[in-house]
Amino acid sequence: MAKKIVVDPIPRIEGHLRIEAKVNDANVIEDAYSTGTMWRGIEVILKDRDPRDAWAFAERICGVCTTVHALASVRCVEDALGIQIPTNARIIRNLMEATQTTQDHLVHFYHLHALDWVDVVSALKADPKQASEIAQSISPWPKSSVGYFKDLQARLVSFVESGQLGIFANGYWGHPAYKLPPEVNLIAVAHYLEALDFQKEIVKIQTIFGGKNPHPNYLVGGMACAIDINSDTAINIERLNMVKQIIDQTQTFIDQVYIPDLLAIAGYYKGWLHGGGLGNYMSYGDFPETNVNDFKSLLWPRGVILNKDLSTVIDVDPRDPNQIKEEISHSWYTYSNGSDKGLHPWQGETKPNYTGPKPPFDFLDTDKQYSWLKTPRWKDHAVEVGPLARVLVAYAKGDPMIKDTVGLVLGKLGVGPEALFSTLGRTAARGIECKQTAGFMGHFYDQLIANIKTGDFKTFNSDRWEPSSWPKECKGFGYTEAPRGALGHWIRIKNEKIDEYQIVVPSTWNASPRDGKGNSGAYESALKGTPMADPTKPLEIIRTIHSFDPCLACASH
Amino acid sequence: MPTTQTFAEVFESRGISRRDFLKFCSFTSVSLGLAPSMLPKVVEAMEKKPRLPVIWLHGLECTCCTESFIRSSHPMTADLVLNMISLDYDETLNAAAGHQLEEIRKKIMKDYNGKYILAVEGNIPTKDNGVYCMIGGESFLNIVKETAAGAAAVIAWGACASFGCVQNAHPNPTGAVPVSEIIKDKPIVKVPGCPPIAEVMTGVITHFHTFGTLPELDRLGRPKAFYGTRIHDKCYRRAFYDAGMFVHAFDEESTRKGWCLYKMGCKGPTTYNSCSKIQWNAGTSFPIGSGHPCIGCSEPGFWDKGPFYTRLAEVSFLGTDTTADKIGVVAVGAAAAGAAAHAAVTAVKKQKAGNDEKK
Amino acid sequence: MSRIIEEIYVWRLPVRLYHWINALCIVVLSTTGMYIAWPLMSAPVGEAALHHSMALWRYFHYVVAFIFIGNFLYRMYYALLVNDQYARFGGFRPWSPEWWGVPFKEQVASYLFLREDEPNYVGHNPVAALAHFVFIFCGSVFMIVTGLAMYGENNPGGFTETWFGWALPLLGGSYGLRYAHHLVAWIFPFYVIVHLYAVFRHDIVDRTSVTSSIITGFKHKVEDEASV
Ligand code: HEM
Ligand code: HEM
Ligand code: NFV
Ligand code: SF4
Ligand code: SF4
Ligand code: F3S
Ligand SMILES: [Mg+2]
Repeated sequence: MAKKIVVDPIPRIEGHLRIEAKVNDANVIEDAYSTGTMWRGIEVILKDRDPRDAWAFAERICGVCTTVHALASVRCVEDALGIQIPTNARIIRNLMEATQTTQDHLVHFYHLHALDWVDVVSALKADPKQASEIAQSISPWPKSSVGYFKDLQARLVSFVESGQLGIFANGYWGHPAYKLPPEVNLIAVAHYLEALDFQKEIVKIQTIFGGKNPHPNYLVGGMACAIDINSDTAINIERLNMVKQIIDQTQTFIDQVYIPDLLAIAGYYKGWLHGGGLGNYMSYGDFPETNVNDFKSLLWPRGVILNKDLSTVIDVDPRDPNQIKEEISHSWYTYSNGSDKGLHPWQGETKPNYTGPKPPFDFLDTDKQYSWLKTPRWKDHAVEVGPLARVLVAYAKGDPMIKDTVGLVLGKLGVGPEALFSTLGRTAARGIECKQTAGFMGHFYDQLIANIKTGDFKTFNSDRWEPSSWPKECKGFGYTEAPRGALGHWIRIKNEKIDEYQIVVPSTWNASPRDGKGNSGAYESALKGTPMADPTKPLEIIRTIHSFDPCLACASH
Repeated sequence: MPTTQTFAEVFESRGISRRDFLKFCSFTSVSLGLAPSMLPKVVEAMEKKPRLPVIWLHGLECTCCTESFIRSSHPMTADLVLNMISLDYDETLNAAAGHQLEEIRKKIMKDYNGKYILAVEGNIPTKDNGVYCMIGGESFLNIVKETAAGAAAVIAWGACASFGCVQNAHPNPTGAVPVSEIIKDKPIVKVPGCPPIAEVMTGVITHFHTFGTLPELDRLGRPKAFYGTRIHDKCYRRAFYDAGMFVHAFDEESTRKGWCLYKMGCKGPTTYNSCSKIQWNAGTSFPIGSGHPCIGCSEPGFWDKGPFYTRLAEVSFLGTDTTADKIGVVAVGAAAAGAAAHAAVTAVKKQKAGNDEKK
Repeated sequence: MSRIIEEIYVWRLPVRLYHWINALCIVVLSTTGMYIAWPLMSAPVGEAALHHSMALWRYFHYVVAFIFIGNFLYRMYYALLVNDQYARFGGFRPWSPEWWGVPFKEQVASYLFLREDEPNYVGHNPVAALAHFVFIFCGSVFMIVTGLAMYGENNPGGFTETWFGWALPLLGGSYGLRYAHHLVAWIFPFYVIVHLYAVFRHDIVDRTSVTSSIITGFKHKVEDEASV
């Protein structure tokens, strides 16, 4: 008889996620239900506001992927109003987004995901000398002396002996699903701390152009940061030098710390290839080199892959009312014209309607409505979005850079491309993409310099700033590839105010509850069939769930 | 109860000399902006106190307060979390999951009854039994009440927990409220901002740890050390404000010259925060420093004071959106029209009265 | 020709002085205040330190604000402690139902053209008294309190902030306070229009020379020739 286990709260994610899983007598997960347990109503709150303010509200959907909602928002307003942004603004936005991707992936790997693979307590038993040797064999990173690891271990011991374990208390330490030798655990703990320290440097690029991070400032029509290489109060050479230095350091950190760690850790887990899930992948693409509607210019290509078939990439058009629809058959919402049909976001509605049990409760009624997330579907298919989807779309489209990096990683691990369709594949894809994006940062920096050199300081297009210049009614779509995947904002503007605003978020795609036909989304599918060593310590569940890098504040908004 | 280590012990076991320890103490006092005479107090505090247990709850929020917190450069977050406080419960960082995680919260509440700090990030939804935020099958509303009961003090992180942030903007569909509307019997330190500056957040915690008291608060419950004056009072563009040199549009010459953003809707004159002083991300810049007007993100209700790019907010009045000036102009116009009409009637009446008399 | 049958010294010099200082202050505060809200002078060229346009407008606002406050306090003193029957507020008792009785109703009815005759008062008529109270008295108190609270923001912990800073949380923080100050500022132009109309109209209709009374102090009772 299958029993139901509940993991709630799921830690080391953004927002509030609950997993209910049916586990059979052999401790294999038979079925799983993913629930977003919070809703804030940002789409409702956005109504009737000035569209030029929308980015700030939308950005507050999430502080972890801060930036991306602001970007999608200004893009959808600009799309509705027909605004072309200046070249500098496009490059700066690309650079800020690439900054977000690298920082977010780095934090995810070390601070949100690593503890699913790394046993901190085991690091106490490590031999610092051996750890140093391993570290030096995999990377030229200078902080890898015996003394360094010895000191770190001593700190760790004193921390553990203090009896106050803080965030490390009650982890699944010693769980049989942990496979790393103590020395690799020690290296990972060292880099957990170093990455915590370093990630705060990367985001300074957003601070330079957007004034702060988290939640840098955007502007409909361009960017507010003025450029003038002969002014002491605008973006000048000092600011640009700082950007350049951060880019260089970021590339070094990713090349010398993140990627070697990823490969070292993955090497011990390549036998654990569960969690593949749907096999359908979607990317809207991003990083436009001309303008957002010139899809050929996107550095990250767009498309859909179905059933792991890498030979065909299908076109995706988020404006097409027949492609993307949000269903609510298992969500706590209603639609005015019947809750059984999906709606394209331009026709979308957000009306909460909680039908679950009154808290406190033990279980949800997963046959009925059980989540604050809606259920987006592409041509009725559940699809996975995120780094793995992007890497696969680029790989299938023959992107030479991605082909190289993927080949390199698979080669080093000694596995075939089919290994990508797994929890580990998702985690590896994020690393591959992080390295690629850090490369983009340098590319965007060079572009910015080249453009400024031509004497172009323009960062803002004021043509449609005044609401009196807007059409009485219009609609727009803005997209971006957020760290967690394809993000779309759909807006309708009427009489200078937001009439309707609909947001479909990467984590909504991945964490969605079942659709009307009973088909699962990416999280639920990925958990099915996973064997568990000890269902009272569901390490395998959080490991696979974390491989998606859940963001539930995003997902339900 | 587990054995707890003091700061000095932590330092000692790490093989750090007394001299370095004192250096660290003086660095901390400097970064807190304290007079040198306070140093012995800092040293004493660090020598005697076990690490302060902190339970950090997440409600209706975007987690960017946590994100900001981990950007702290002095003290560095790792140092704070490993050596100064004991961050025992924080969903975003904890290793433990599910009921193992909830056990930690219960244990700290029991073992450190009356001694732990409750930090709250996010709003508390109050509508419909709190179903808009549920954790472990319980409503966040109940969790906050339960956890606050044994707390020594409450820290309200960010605009959300302090005043109510984006989700409590009109029409507030979830009935979201700040902590102070639920917890009435505990001292609450409000650390507003969307998010607050990292060093402000860690400064508030280290203040409590170091001096054993809450920082002095202003009338709105904010620490004076960080919210004592307005952005405008210490803005580097203030000279342009006083001179009347204003930016009139984004990306014009005045923008590149860094003139004052007042006419672009800058809320610096009405916003208490440290942005123009400490700045963001280890002093890299701040919104105005990068050309965008302040939107007042640390002030109560700032979301409903838009449009952001104008000085005067639109307010709802008799079912339409309007501004103070539109109301004023209409009222004055009405007074003038009324007077004119009244004069006309008076004249007609007088005329009539005159005619009657002549008859 | 109408004949002056009685000449009454209604507005003694302090009241007239108060009136004109007050009127002037209000004009200056309204213009400087609105300038602070919408500075329109185009940016001067050159070093910021050499220009003070915004600072000066604000400075004038403060200087005049303090004259306004002093003048207001003086009028309160005069009304409460000096024995001047027309300037006292003694007769103004809106809390008593009697006050809302016959004279008030008569005056309202007259303004609404519901009666033929014009009631006549030597001091304030009750409707005028009420209007003065609501617009000038309450309006001034509100502007003074919110103004001082804002002024106090320039020096937290200082005298003004300590005594008037309580208005901040009451009005939802600094922005709410400023917004309220700005909104209520509109009461003054509104009131001035109504006030001026009422004064001129009374002059023409009852011919009591109200207008000049605020300059000379004298009101006249006239006898209409026709009614002789
Ligand atoms: C900013 C403009 C003005 C304001 C705020 C203002 C305000 C006031 C106030 C508060 C009073 C009551 C006096 C008291 O009891 O102390 C008053 C009375 C009076 N004011 Fe003005 N005043 C203004 C302009 C004027 C002007 C321009 C005139 C004449 C041309 C005028 C004529 C009078 C007269 C005749 C009275 C006595 C009315 C009565 O019998 O009730 N006022 N005014
Ligand atoms: C008839 C009375 C008054 C009027 C019509 C008036 C009008 C105004 C207006 C329209 C503003 C601009 C508000 C904005 O920024 O939108 C203002 C600002 C201000 N007023 Fe007044 N005001 C009056 C009395 C006072 C008084 C008695 C004070 C007391 C000190 C005062 C102090 C201030 C201050 C401090 C500011 C803010 C200036 C700044 O920070 O730059 N006001 N006033
Ligand atoms: N899902 C999601 Fe986000 C991302 N990446 C948003 O678009 O995390 Ni907060
Ligand atoms: S205060 Fe702002 S930044 Fe902090 S959690 Fe709330 S929405 Fe996010
Ligand atoms: S930019 Fe804003 S804060 Fe700075 S001086 Fe101008 S109005 Fe004040
Ligand atoms: S918008 Fe917020 S970050 Fe500072 S400058 Fe204004 S308070
Ligand atoms: Mg949505």
